[in-house]
Amino acid sequence: MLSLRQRFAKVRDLLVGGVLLTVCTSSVSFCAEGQEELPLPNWETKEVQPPRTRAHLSPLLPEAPPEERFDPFKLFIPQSLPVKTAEVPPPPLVKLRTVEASVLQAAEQMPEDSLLLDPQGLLPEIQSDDLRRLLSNHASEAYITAHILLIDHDQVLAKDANLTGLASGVLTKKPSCLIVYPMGEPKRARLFTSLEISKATPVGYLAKMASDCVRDAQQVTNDVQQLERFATQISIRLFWLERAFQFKDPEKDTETAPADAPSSATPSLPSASPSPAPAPKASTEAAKEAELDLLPEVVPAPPPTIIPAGAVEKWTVIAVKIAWSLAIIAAVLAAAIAIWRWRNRRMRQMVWLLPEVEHVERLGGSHCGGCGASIKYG
Amino acid sequence: MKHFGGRLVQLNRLTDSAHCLRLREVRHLESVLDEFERTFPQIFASVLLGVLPGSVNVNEIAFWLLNRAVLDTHGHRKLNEFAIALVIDPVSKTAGVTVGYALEPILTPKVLSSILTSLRTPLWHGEHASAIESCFELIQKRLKSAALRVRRTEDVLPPQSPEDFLDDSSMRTLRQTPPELDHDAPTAGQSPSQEQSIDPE
Repeated sequence: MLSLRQRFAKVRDLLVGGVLLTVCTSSVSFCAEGQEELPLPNWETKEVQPPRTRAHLSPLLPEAPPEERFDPFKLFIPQSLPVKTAEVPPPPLVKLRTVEASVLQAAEQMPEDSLLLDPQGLLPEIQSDDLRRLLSNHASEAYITAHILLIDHDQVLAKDANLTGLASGVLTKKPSCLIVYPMGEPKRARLFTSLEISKATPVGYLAKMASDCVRDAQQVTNDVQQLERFATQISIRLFWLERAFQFKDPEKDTETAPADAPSSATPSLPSASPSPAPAPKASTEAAKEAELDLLPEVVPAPPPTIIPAGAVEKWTVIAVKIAWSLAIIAAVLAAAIAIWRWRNRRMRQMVWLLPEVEHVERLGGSHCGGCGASIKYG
Repeated sequence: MKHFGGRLVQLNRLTDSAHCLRLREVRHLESVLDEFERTFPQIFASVLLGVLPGSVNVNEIAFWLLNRAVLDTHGHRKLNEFAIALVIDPVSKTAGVTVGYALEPILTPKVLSSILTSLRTPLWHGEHASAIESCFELIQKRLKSAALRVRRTEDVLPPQSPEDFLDDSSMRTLRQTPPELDHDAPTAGQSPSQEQSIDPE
């Protein structure tokens, strides 16, 4: 049993606790109400304005045109309503520039065993090594070696560019194939082959080979991947070319041939190959052209599926004319048939009446007087 | 006409006693002649293919037919003056056309000779059906130039009495109905009261 004093102390504790709890809750609610009513800080105009850019720092991105700037009013316009948008200008055409002579000179000074000619360093190192490995592997296995001269996407070879001296003139010494490849522009890639190959191969075959390589490279969009696909495809096609037209390496043949075979170990160089002695600098234009002919270019065949726009329009016009002609003929025929049927139906409702004339009986005949004719047909 | 006498004969539209036509050709020619008579409702066209005796030629038999024949016109009365008879003798290889008095001004002997001349080739080849068809096509073309075109009026009136209907139709009574088989007529020993008692109503 609790004493009265203890009971009183317990009630007192309870009362004190309740009072404390009430005070705490009221203070918390008061604090919350006080926070909501706190005023916003007053920003000064200097702090609202964007920081000034320094004079020597140019903005990295061009300023957006006034039409593309954020307009809060557009938030209230539903998207279905037509909003005047600025017309997107077409991408600017790349102005092609001729490959500098220094680039070609640098490519000419490269050693004979360099299959990837990248004097401008357009290809990253890892991809460059991969491509070199691919080309060297091809060169070790195939009779026709493949060389790739990389130029930039906006570069183009000069019309009178002499490519016979690239890689220390190895292109004219061995049967080889040179691809001048603009990075990211496989469609503008140019293919050159040695005179020996171009003589022994039909033009259509080489043209189809070039167009197939271009088409395969266009399957991807990445520049490096395009180059890799192009190189892989040209390697495959060169193997096919060797097999199709019996290009064989004489050195390899002599290794496998018996010892009493004629010693024609030297590779069959093109007949018009230049002499090992350096050509005189003051050569005539004819000599220059003859030099250019050592590495004839292969013009890729146009893709079969692409029809010229003019031809499509022409055929469309012809088809429309034929359709109109057929429609007119059909309409005329239908009208003629309808008229014919209408006339037949009308004629079926008509009869012909003959006049009844007075007659005089002849030969004793009451109905017929013997008016007639006869023939003998036999 | 002494050979055939003065009796009357029934003339059909197409008679092939020489058996020159096949069944299909007969049907086709009948339709051609039907169409011809539909176009010229006054005219009766008749074709006879037969082997004639040696003493009679095609014109004589056609003359006799048009004067002595009763035309089988399916109830429509037509005058023999508007008849056309085409006679072909495949043995003697002769063909003739004769017309009645009413058609003489249109189908003169000269016109008929030209029409028959155009039939010479098919007749010589034995193509009797095509020869007959082309003959009536030419006759039709000639007649149309002289005839008056009117719209056909099919005013068929009903017969006024059963006797008229029977007369117009091809049905003929073979014998009289015996009176004892007539159940509707009252018998002699029956009174009208008995007749009423038999009747269930």
